[in-house]
Amino acid sequence: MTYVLKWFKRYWRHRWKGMTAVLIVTILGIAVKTLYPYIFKFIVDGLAQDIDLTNVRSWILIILSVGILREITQWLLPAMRFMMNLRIAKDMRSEHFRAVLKMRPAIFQNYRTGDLITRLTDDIDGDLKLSWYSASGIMRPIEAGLTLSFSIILMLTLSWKLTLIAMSPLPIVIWLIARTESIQEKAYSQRQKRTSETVDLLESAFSGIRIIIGSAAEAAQSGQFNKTIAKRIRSEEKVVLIRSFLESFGSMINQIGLVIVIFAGSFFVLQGHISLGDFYAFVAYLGGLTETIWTISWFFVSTKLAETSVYRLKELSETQDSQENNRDFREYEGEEIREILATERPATKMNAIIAENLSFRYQKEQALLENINLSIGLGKIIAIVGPVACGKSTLLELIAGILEPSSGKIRIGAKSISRLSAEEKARLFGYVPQDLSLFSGNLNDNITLGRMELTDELWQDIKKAAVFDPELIQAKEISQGGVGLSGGQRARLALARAIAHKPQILLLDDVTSALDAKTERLFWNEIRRYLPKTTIIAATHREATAATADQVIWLNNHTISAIDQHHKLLDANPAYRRLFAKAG
Amino acid sequence: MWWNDYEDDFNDDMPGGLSVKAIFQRIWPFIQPYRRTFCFSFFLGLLGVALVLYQPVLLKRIFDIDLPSGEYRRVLLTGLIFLATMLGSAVINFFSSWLLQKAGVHVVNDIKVKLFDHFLRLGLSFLERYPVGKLVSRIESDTQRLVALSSTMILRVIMSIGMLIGAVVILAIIDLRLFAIVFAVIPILFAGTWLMFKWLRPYFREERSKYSEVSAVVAEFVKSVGILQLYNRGSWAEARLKRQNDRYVQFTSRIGFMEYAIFRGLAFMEILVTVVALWLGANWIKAGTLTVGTIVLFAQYIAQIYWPIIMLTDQLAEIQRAGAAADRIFTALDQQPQIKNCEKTIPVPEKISQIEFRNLSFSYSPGKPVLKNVSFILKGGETLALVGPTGGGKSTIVNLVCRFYDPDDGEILVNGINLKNFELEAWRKRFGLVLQDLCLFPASLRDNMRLFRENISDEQIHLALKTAGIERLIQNGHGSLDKIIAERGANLSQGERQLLALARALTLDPELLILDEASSSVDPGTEAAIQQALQKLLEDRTNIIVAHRLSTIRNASQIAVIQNGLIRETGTHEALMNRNGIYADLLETQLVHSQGTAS
Repeated sequence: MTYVLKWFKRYWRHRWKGMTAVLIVTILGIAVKTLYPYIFKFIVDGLAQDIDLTNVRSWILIILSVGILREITQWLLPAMRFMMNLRIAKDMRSEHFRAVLKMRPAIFQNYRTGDLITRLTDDIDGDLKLSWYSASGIMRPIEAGLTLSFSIILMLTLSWKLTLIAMSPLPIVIWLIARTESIQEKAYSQRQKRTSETVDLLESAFSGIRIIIGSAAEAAQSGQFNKTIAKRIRSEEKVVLIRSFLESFGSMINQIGLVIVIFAGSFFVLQGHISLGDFYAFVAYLGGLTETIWTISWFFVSTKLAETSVYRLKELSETQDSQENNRDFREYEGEEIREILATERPATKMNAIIAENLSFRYQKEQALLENINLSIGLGKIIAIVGPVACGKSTLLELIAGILEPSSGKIRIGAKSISRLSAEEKARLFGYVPQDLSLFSGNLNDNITLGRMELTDELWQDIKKAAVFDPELIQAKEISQGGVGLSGGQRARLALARAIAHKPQILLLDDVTSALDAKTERLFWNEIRRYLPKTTIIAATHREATAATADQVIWLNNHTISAIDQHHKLLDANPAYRRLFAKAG
Repeated sequence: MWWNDYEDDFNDDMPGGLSVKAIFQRIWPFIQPYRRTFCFSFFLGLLGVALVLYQPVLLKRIFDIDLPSGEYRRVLLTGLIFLATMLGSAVINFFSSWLLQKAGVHVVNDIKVKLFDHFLRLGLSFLERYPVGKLVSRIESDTQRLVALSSTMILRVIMSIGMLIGAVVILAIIDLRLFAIVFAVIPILFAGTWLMFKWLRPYFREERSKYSEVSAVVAEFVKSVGILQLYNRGSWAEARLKRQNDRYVQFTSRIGFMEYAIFRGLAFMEILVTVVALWLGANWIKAGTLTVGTIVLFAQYIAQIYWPIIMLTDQLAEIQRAGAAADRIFTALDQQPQIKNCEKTIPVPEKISQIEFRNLSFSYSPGKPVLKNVSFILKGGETLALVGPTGGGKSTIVNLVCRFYDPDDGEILVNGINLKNFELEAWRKRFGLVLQDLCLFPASLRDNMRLFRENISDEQIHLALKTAGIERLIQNGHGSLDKIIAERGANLSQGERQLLALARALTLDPELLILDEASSSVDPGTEAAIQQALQKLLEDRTNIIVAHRLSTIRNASQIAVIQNGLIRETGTHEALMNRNGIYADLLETQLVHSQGTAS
């Protein structure tokens, strides 16, 4: 419990003004609410004895004004709590979204996208989840505690004896709550476990659905599901039993106080210790306390429920923390990109990009790239050619620093790529991945990603370089994934984004495949004109691109087979020749 | 439509969908088996309401009769009755709520089971259109939304109505004037809540859509983290999320303030009525036509009259929300399987002597043909290897032989009989299936082998494991058939996974083997083991293989090269090599890298 509260602390601290306002309104609201029966007492007393109408009427008017005040605070209170729920949810989402954005690819691989999205949405906003807990959840027990204390204080002013008698079951109630808390918790977590089992089974069944249907094993799978559901029903029945029991008998125990008030209070009335109005006030207070106690009890359960989501979010921010500790490039920030390429190392122009003994694999799987050695000169156009799934995209991602090599290293100029800061990399590289990653919004946003101002002049240049349809305008809106543009235009939009900042290294993953032969040639001319000094590396299946390149890296069997010019490879390498013969 | 796309997951709690009446009509068949429990607990609920309603009457008696009489004995008696009503209502409420919620649990889980069975029956042509997460959420989350609807919510509505009517009637009996004051406001209250419901509904919708925009931004950026990191534009994405978030928070807070304002505005009626009743009541008491006890009773009832009305709207909104979930559930249940048994099935022939594809065309979506006029004949005992570039249509042939889909044109004939004439289950029991995606379940090795079919014996499993050459999985202290396989076989090596999938296909010693070879490569040792297992597997069977291994292809009696939905070349390995066409090319460029040690 302290763990959850501790986690929330910084959000409360950040929103301390709002939370304080909610607290003040809560105190005010509860004060007014508990005052209501107290004033009613005077009316009952006024009506029970010699009836002084003017006196009674003034009390009625007071009731009216207190009532109005009550409604106003009761309006503000939930509304303000709700507003704070939303604001704190926003803070949580932003913070953890940032953590996800900073996740290293190796860590990113461990999560399914859907799971990440769920953590950033449902874990925060779901029913009774973190958003609810942050203000409503935490304020409820406070409200309940205040109601309890105010009521007791007011009752004490009426009759301390009767108050003590009326409150005598309270310790029992508290003891009971303490006792049931663990039972409730156990039942809830058991149910949670059974729910996860159901979800796991469903997930695995649907993931392996082909083999199930193909083996005519549907009935067996249904049987399996039935078994899981039967277990789940048992756990849910238990929760239902506990909850019904607590709701019914728990409130009853508390109402015992009311019965005690009836017995003792009326005795006091008959003895002349308290007035009829006092008696009424006691009855009203005791009636109102039932819910209060159980709100406090429910708080323990809801904290437990929030805990799971807290863990899930914390996991995200923790991966980021550990990652920031590992960063060693901070000291290099501020160094000019140009300096990186214009190193004092010999033969600069020959080794803008150097890969040494580079290998890559996902965890324990088969290597996707093995023993890659490369040296790419400044300003060259390089084509990477090879059969499907030979590692072309992986190589580009390694060069861009999106993936980290399993062994070996990549240097950009004199500097290992792992030592480049995020900002340096951003300015150095332009990259068009196969999955184009287009966002909803207009073309302008998609190109600039908010990095720069897209002036008219620049827009015209880019449009020409990326062989855009001249009619396209910057303000054209597209939906997520580029819906609203044709396939070729989408690729060009991604290209426009990659070249807008005039990168020194441009990586293209099969971009030209969406272009016809004529446009392809035009594209290479234009891109060279626009980026005369940029090193361009293009993974491709197209002969025109390979022919344009200064050099072709012939990737086969997860490693480099040859590096040479296109026509020389055509002459010397039959497999290379066949690749293009087939495509042609 | 509920299946539109991944993104609409976030619109899942959009209000709307089925009307309240329609929901109950659809849910009724599931409730029906428990209707007695339902009726009984409603009855108990109303009984509880009656007892609770009786308590203010007792208070009135204490104020008006017992206390003025000065006899404590009387108070004691009334107090005891009060205690009894309290105990009674606690016991009754407990049973009513427990029985009903228990029934609710069963109803919802019955729906889950039914939905799952239905999904399995709908087959691949349906299931493969949707991401797994979506299917899971249909069975899990959507049905969960019906929990309250199928239990406590109805009870609460019934109890609210009972409470309202009871309180009003008792009040009318005790004092008509007070009844008149209360009654004058009830229509306003009903009208007010109804209007509020109507008026706010579009705002709720808007709120959901604002929220789905937030979720969409999260989804869109989380999916493209790579590009954002590359250009170091996290801050840009954050700013965009902030913008959407702000819009949502602003809008929703405003709705919150409005909603609670109306809510409390209606609640203020309660105070107004109380004040009027007290004002006039004071005169009546002075005139001796009203008692203090009645005022006390009135004060107790007033809340019981107004809250049910206000709560009722709350319940209605909840029901509406559940309506959207119900809509998706029942739309799914309305789906009809596309692949089903024909009316008069005939038994699958004892021995499969020939499988023929005759002029077969197929497309997954209209206008995009995947197979175009494909014909071939495979004789019993022979092996057909399908080769060709990705997306050419090889796996589609497997899908059609398994009858996961039916062809658009043309037919598949087994011993000259159209495949559609066989009973689906009987046909599928005749072949063993190994897929690219090895489909390993987080369950015991035994269950992975038999796919939970309990009629498969341990002996059969042992034999299959032995034939596939991975009996070592259960030997030398490596555990038994109870060994738990992790999700996607994470605790096995790639080779073991492949061998396990082969072994699984062998458990029933099928006559026909359909094999979509895994294209991921393994170390040479494992490769040799897999090839050995494969050889055994293919012996004395009719085999259809989407092949990636040169060895498999070489040994095939027939090779079909599939490209762009057409069979481009057929023949044996030697014949096709001599021809020096697409096959020869393919072998060089596409297959070489995955042949391992085969060559």
